[in-house]
Amino acid sequence: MLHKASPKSSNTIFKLEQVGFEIGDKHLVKSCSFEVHQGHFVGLLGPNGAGKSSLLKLLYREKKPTTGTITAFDRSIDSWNRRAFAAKVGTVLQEKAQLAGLTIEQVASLGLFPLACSKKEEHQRVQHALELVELWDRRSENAGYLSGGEQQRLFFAQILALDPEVYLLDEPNNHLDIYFQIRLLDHIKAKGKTVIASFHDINLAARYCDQAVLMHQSEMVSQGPLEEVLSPERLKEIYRVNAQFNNSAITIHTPVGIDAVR
Amino acid sequence: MFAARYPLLTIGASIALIVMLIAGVFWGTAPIPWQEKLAVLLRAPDAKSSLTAIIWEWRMPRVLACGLVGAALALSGTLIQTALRNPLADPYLLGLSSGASAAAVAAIIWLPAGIVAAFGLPLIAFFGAALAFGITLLMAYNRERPMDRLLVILAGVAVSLLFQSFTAFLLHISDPNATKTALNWLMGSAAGTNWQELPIMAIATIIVTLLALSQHKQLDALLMGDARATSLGVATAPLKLAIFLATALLTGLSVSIMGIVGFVGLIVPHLARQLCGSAHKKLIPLAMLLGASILVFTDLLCRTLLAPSELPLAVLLALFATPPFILILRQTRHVA
Repeated sequence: MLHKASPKSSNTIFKLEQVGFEIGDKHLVKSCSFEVHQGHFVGLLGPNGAGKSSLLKLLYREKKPTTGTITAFDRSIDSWNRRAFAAKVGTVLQEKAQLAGLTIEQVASLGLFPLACSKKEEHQRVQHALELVELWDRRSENAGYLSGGEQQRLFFAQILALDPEVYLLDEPNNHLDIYFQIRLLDHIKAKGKTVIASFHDINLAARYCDQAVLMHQSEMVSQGPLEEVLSPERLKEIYRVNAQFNNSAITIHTPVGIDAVR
Repeated sequence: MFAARYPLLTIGASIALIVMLIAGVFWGTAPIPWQEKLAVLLRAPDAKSSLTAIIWEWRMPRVLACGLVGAALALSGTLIQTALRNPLADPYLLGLSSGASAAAVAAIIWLPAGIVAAFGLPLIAFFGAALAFGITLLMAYNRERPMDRLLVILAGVAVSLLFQSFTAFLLHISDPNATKTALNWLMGSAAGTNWQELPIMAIATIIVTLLALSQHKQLDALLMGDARATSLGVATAPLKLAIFLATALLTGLSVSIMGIVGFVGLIVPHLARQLCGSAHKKLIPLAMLLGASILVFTDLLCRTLLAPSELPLAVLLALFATPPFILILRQTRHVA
């Protein structure tokens, strides 16, 4: 993916051309152009407030770009029926929700809303997904009383039950403890599906992503294979750390301007 | 969580409603002996015609109107609380009821009777409710942030006050004889409901109920927030617009029949949620059954407590509604 002038290929999932998004006079995303190809695990990287979540909002169609065009599966993204699109592109968002009065099982099966499947299949998918996130035994409990991390696992269960072609994950490691961060992302990576995930943790990104889009102050700074995008110079300039990328891991030495850790 | 007892709950609520309806028809300001009640109800040939008039022309439409309005307001409250994800949302607090009554009073005073009759008071009240709701939402709208829960309610209260003062002004400058009747009507009263007012209310309530039930999964998804609902493929904007219009319609119709009836739309959905959870497939029928029972019961108390004089509905409703309202407020403080 992410070839700047690639020939039109049928396995292009998303193609963004000069995409910009602003609210009022705030530019949240400025002229982003890149392509996402089938089967890649793409990291949306950048420090806090770089525009990662805003860019994802355009991809799961909560917002429309104010400039530029987004093509999804070789069609304009707006030409897709919302429900058919949601069946192909699933999303895990990062903000918490008020779930009081719904059971864990009810919330998990809402993830299957875009799909028309039989009661039996729905039950199987929900059971499988809830078992993966270790909430099946608690399926009749009120989801309103879940902690932040448990709620995040429940939202993972929604997308795992749906198992769409494309996984959009906004800060998927938020609230999750390390076991579930690794367990759930490993599981999704093993499926070999297309994933676009925003990370503020570059080490976690290094573990999963083969491609990266680096954003800084609403603008796309770089795109391509992860090792090239996260060069020591960019780590220094954008993340303000002296660090080195090697072997799917990033070794961080010191913050920029601070000599050494005693 | 709530699955096992739901059938029992709906059956219980249905029986309660039937009992309330029968009680509402049998008891009232005029005492009627038991054997005559039955004779009148069965339209026996030897029944007294004055009693037949009381039960068939006076009490029955009134009791049915209370049932319909109670169910419609509970449905409106449920839908609007989901659409705004706001536990304090209700047609009364958001200004819809005041808008509807201001429009109705203005129409009665200013417009020639022929025009009012042609458009119909229910339609005029609907426009009033929709206008008030529009102003409330516009005041609370912020395109950079999601709507603030308390701001919506404050805006609703402000709009409500605006329309109430407008109504008060209209009453002040109008014929003093009309004022007493209008005031009675404004405080909520089912008295004087006739059969002609019922069909449109019934049809509107049934249509909105069926539409809402057909969208029960979309409504559940909306509980998780607009962004999540959108990401699941729910067209949130048209759904919310439909909810706003349906709420304005049901509130407008309710106000045109019995004036401002507060709190049913606020309290009853919470009561139902406590009993059966938030999944709309179960919540909507139960809330409507409870709303209907409660309003029929309250109306019966209003008629009998100080018989032969009648209390306005608002007096008792506010009394019943205050404790649960305070409870909801206390719970909401933390999530606002």
